[in-house]
Amino acid sequence: MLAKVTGFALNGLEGYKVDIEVDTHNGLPSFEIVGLPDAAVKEARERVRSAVKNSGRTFPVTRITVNLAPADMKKEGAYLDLAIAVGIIKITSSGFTDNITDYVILGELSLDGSIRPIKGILPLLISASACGYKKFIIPYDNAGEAAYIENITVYAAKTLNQVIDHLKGITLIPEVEKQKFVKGGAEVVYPVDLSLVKGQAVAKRALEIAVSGGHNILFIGPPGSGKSMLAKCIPSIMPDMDFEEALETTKIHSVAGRLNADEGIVKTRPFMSPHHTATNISLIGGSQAVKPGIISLAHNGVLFLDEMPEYPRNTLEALRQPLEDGVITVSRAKANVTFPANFMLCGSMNPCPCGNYGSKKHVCKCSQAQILKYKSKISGPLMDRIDLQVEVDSVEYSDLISDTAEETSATVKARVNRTREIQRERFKNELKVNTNSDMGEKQIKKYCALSPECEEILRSAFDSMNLSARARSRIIKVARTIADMDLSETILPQHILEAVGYRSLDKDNV
Amino acid sequence: MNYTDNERAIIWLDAIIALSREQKLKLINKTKSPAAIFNDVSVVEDCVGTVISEAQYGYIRAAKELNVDDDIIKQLNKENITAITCMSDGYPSRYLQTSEPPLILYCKGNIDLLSSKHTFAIVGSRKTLPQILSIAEEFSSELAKNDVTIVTGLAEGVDTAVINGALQTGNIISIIPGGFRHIYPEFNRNLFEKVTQKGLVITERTLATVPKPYLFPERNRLIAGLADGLLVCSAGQKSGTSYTADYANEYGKNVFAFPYSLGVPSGEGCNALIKEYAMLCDSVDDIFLSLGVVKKKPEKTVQLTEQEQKVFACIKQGEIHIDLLLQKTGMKIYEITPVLTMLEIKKYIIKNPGNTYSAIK
Repeated sequence: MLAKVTGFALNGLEGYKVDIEVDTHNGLPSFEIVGLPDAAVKEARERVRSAVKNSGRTFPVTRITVNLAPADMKKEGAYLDLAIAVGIIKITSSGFTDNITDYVILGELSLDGSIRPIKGILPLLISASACGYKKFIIPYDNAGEAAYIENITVYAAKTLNQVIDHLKGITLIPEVEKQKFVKGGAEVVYPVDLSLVKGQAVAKRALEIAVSGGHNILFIGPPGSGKSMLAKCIPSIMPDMDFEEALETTKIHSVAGRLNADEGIVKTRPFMSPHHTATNISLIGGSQAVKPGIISLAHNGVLFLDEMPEYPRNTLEALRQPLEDGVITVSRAKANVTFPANFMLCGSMNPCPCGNYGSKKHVCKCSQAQILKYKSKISGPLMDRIDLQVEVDSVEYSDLISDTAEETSATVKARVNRTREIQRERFKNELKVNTNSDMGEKQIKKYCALSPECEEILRSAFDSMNLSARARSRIIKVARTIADMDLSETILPQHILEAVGYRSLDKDNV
Repeated sequence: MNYTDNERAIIWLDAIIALSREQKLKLINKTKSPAAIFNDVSVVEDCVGTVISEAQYGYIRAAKELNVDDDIIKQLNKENITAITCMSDGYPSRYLQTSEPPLILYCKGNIDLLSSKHTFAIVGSRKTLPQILSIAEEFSSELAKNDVTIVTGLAEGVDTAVINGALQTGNIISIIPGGFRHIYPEFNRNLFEKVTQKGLVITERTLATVPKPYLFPERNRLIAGLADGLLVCSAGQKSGTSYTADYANEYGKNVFAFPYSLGVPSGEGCNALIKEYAMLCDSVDDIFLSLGVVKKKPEKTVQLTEQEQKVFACIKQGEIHIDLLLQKTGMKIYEITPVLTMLEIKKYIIKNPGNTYSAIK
């Protein structure tokens, strides 16, 4: 007797079809799974046996062989449990109406026959749908993720019996209702709002510029000055994610198993804040199973590195290539996977190791050599990718209780959307350039022509403020964004002057 | 570089580390001619017991083994170092008026600076407010442009700012505590190179002397001795800078100090100096007046726009935080940032760490 069922397995963010063939033949009773299963798949034997029995069905007392084709790909995780169980039941009982290989069956089994949620449903469904499959049986708890994919029929089952009854046509499982994706919407709620940050006019302005032009930003300030709070506000002023962005982000979070059951699709921009003891692999992605790292989880959102100089040098250097390309390719012996990693980098650091440099109340105990060493932990090439460096100072008590109305995130976001629209229009013919921060030397020449007056101001700024030469193109890029925010076609002197103000680390003597 | 017999003898004598500077000077004074000692060591024999000990006499005799030309002068020439001894022509006469003149000055750079008509020392501690640093730089550049040679050290903080201010004109003398093989602090090596190219670096120590802490007060004595006057930009309560001021005072030079408000750790020493003998300095004109130098050309005034004037007026009242500045001027943040940057470029204000601004005009 032979039964065939279709499942899907994941390789990075892409799914591939797995044919599950179940065969029984005479011999001593046994249950073998072949086709490069990993430990979790092998253990499916015990789960499937118990689940079938506890669902009140007979488990054949013969020699059972399950083959997972293609045989040369390593199958991981427990999401083939349900398909294997269906295959075994198909052998022993009759009455399956539909041709069940039309279905893609995904789910992990519990010993009592109920179906448990699995990771990575969204990328699995997208890949399967691209392969032409239309009908899916998935765990009930994963239904939310399936609601946004069009042209497919999804049945979300709670127990093994429900699945069998459905496949036999006895009791049909209701289809998962489709949902229309609405950009933004009521469910996009961020825990912090810019209006909660009192004072800090400079930092807020810099934040708006950074988000408007997609620039990376670094906050420099003593401990307790509100750097993290400001960073947490970034997602709330970034433009709402469109469907493509949301889907991409959801895919990654789905694979990483970070989705809530009722969330379905990720609509809020992610904010990832890894601790500085995080390993390279956890940040970049990898491990044996080739999992997306934190920078991929921050895709379309914010990667916040608190106390940036405390991170190991090699961890920071590993960020350079994804910052440049927006993707990260993780290569392992078993697989070679490219994860998207297009995030906005926000860093924070103290002005010196003891944190009191420049403070009037406390004496800084650091020698200049120590301060230089501390600052040089962020390498020049990495600093080149950080367009804005802003000082944040400790807030006075009187500022905290003042009730001057601060702008809300929504107001700022509206302006950001407008500025982004200008950039979209400008770069519509440019490959791989979406925002001002993405501009290379070529685009800077083309879109950021400076009047002689501006050139003169920039030159005198360099002279009198001891700016290092590599700051030039960054200043121009930021000036372009400021001009866009000002709805100005050309870069005016005041835009250059403001941009120069956000280069505090480039001054040679500090 | 060719040296006379006396000069060679002093260079040789300086290399004997067993003798102190005072002893060497006494020996020279007693015998009237260092060359005589060099040619025949026994002329100092009658000084044994009074000026030098028996053991030290032994060291001097042993030093005869030393080949001055090959071992010392060749090295100095190789590294472009000129030794100016107390018997050389170029020896600064200012030192002769001090109680502890140096035996020898090892110089790297433009030695003509030693005979400058006007010299002025600007010193301060390593930890100094950024506002003061830029004022120090401004003062130094102003004085140097008017042919006043600036004398200072080579440390971080005020010394660096002062050097930066005067470097363009080259009227700068940096005095270091150790030998030329040990530049301290190491990260100022670039600055050291720049000073040797445009200005002058001097030390009274032989090439390989390590800058030990006790050498710093000795160096401070040289700064005070070479300058016609001294400005103390910043000094903590127990600061080496105060020693420099004490030396200068002792040598009868004009000592100036910046006034500080209460509770600024880096200014306590300055206020203490003003209380004792220093003159309060709040403008570079005070220094010009004391040196008797007339400023060459009236500085060209930079025009401020109406908006810049408004903002500058607020900053001039005292160090101010940007949030408060916004409240006072009623400007928006995107309006005020360009103005502040422009004021910074025009050198009217300086941005302090912590988003506060101070006036430097």
